[in-house]
Amino acid sequence: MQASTSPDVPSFPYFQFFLSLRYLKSRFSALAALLSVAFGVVVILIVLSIMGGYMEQLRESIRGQESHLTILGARPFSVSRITRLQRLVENVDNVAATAPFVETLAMYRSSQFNPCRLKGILPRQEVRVSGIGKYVLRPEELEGLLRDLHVDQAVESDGAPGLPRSGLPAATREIDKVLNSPTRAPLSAEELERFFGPTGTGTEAPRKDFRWELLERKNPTIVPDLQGSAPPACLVGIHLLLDREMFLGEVVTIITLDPRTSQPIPKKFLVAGAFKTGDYNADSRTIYAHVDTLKNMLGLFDAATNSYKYEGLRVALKHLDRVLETRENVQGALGSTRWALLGQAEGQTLVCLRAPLACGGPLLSGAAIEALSSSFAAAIKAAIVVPEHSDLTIMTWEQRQHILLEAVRIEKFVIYFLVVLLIFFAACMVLLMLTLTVIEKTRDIGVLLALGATPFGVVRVFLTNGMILSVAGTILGLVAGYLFCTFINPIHDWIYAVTGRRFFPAEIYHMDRIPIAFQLSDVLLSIAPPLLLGFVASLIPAIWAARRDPIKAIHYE
Amino acid sequence: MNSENVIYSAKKIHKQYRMNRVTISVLKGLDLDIRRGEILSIVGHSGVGKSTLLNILGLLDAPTTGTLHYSSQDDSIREADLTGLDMVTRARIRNRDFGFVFQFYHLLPDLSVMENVLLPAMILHSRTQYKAGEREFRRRAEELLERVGIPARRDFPPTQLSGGERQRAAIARALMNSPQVVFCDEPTGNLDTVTGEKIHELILDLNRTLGVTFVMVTHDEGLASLAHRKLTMRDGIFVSDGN
Repeated sequence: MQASTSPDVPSFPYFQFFLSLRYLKSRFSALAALLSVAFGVVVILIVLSIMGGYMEQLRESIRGQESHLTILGARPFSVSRITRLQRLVENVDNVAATAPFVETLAMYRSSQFNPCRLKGILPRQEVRVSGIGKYVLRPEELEGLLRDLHVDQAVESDGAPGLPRSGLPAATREIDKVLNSPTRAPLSAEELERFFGPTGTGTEAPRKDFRWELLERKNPTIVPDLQGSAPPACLVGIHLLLDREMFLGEVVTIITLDPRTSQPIPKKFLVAGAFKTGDYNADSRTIYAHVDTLKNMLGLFDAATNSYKYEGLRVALKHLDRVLETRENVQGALGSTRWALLGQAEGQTLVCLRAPLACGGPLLSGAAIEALSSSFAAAIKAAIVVPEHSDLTIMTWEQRQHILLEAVRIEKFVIYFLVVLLIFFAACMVLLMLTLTVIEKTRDIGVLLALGATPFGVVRVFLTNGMILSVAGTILGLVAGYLFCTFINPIHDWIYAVTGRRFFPAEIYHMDRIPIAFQLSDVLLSIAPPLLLGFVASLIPAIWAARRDPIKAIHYE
Repeated sequence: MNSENVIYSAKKIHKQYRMNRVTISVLKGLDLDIRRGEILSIVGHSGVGKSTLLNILGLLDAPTTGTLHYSSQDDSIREADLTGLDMVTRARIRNRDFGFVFQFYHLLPDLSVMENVLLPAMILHSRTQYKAGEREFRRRAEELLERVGIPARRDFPPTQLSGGERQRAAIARALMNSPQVVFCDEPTGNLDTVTGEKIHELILDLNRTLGVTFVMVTHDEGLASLAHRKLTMRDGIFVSDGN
């Protein structure tokens, strides 16, 4: 006769947890297993946080330097009639602002010639499409920082103190503190424009503007040689100043190539300010100048269209999440420019052609075009065959940098799976520790079964044992990992000050600080493997323990 | 003693093992009635099946054939053949109704003497139940340790106790849940004569004062002679049954 199970059997008898803890207390190997789990979690958390932070800062840095959308011509400096293009694009839904730009490779002369990227911007418009307002230091901020860091002198050899070995991290930390201050507002368009002077180019304006003030304070010996005409201003990456490649108020020669003749064009610029994006590459190799200065320097005037040619147009959006949709809309708007441009080119007569399109009406059919006068028809056909803006490429900021972003994303997951192997090792430690415990406690298992413990209860003793190790190791790892990540930069700075070695070289990773970002997904990815593998590693010896024959177990030697 | 006093009844118990394709019959159709409150000793040479019988009676092992009936306070078990019970119910009977005393004591070395004695209560109750009744359980454990004569050893680890003290602690543990029957496998087999005699006296005292039934497998003629009944086994069967 099969009797039913006793109804008063407790699901979780007290002995399970009690005995689990007691077994843990008495074993040194339990501590080793716990520490190995914690170590695995620390490594995973650090790796994910750094990679996440790197990704985030990279995106932030790219976003700061790139606009949401960038419109580029098929060839360098091939975008003409920029004002008209801006008007067209700004009419598209979700477009907040646009700004033209010119960009070219150049060399600056310091102790030697060094390559750099020379970017021409229109400050009043640029400030609305990129993060430049956040990154450029105000004159008083910059001068104060350079003075504090003792890098406001021309050369180091004159006895002025340079940056000590540990000075660079401290300097970047100080600058970050200023730039990231919660009370600091980004530079306004007027503030940004002030660097370049009222006319932008500066060459024709012998006025007492910001550049003259700066020259007279910082580099007065050069003023008489300028004959009343201050050189155009430029803003340089902060590392050019920190590394003493240039100094504030210096007049530097920048050389680029003529896009038509490939002849070198030297031009003097006044170092009027500095910026720091956090991207080491940009902060040590980028120089901003006024777009008008570069247009003239590069000879970008196009007589055919009676306008200057640009590299392209930066576009800022109101809602970044609609970037792809807006890109399509801008593409569509550019495709229809032929009608609009033709209408303007031919005067009032053709405005009627533009109107139906703008109102959503039908396009003219071929027959309708034939019915027009021959000159009109020729003009319309020419406009169809050679549309003015349809060869432009529109790229989102992610598309512009997609190879880099994708590489970092893949690298993050490859490293994650490699680090999970550490957790596998830690789980093996738990498995080994519990297996040894089961072997050592075989007689205890027999006694427990004899005293009325169920096999399932014995499973729970060892499962609880393993899970306590896994959970405690995971929590310890999370706390230790969090603390380590929080203080990773001071620790890194200290190692650098002591050994002179950097484990996160800015010139390789393009960041002067180790970036850290804690995301919920990273925390979950850190705790899932130890808990899952810990559970499996605990269950195997626990089941093995419960399957022991109590009689043999009691007499186990 | 009449049949109403029978607390545990084993009928036609056979136990066979297969070893290297050879079937060995250890128990050959044993019948046994255990009476409430008696001390029953089972004696015999090594290998006659004494311990096998004790393991089957203690529900640690199952007979190949035969039935076991136990006069439990639980109605669902009273009429049941114990050999057909599920694993959990058998574990529960072992915990609540049976006690075990082993030749080598088998106290858990990671626990103190007091915790060893409390172990059956920890197995019987959930954490909440145990915590609610912990004071009562501890009082009973202390009472048992006093009764077996080692109250001063309550917080000692078993490794610091003598053989006799360990066996006393094991007896206290066996009595923790107030069992009906205590199965003792060579309880004095690992003790010197003087200590063994003290254990004899203790078992007699506990039987007399608590009314607990003791079933003992022993080689110790002295201990066997103190029992109310002595059964002698030979080749898997009882050859004598004396009061």
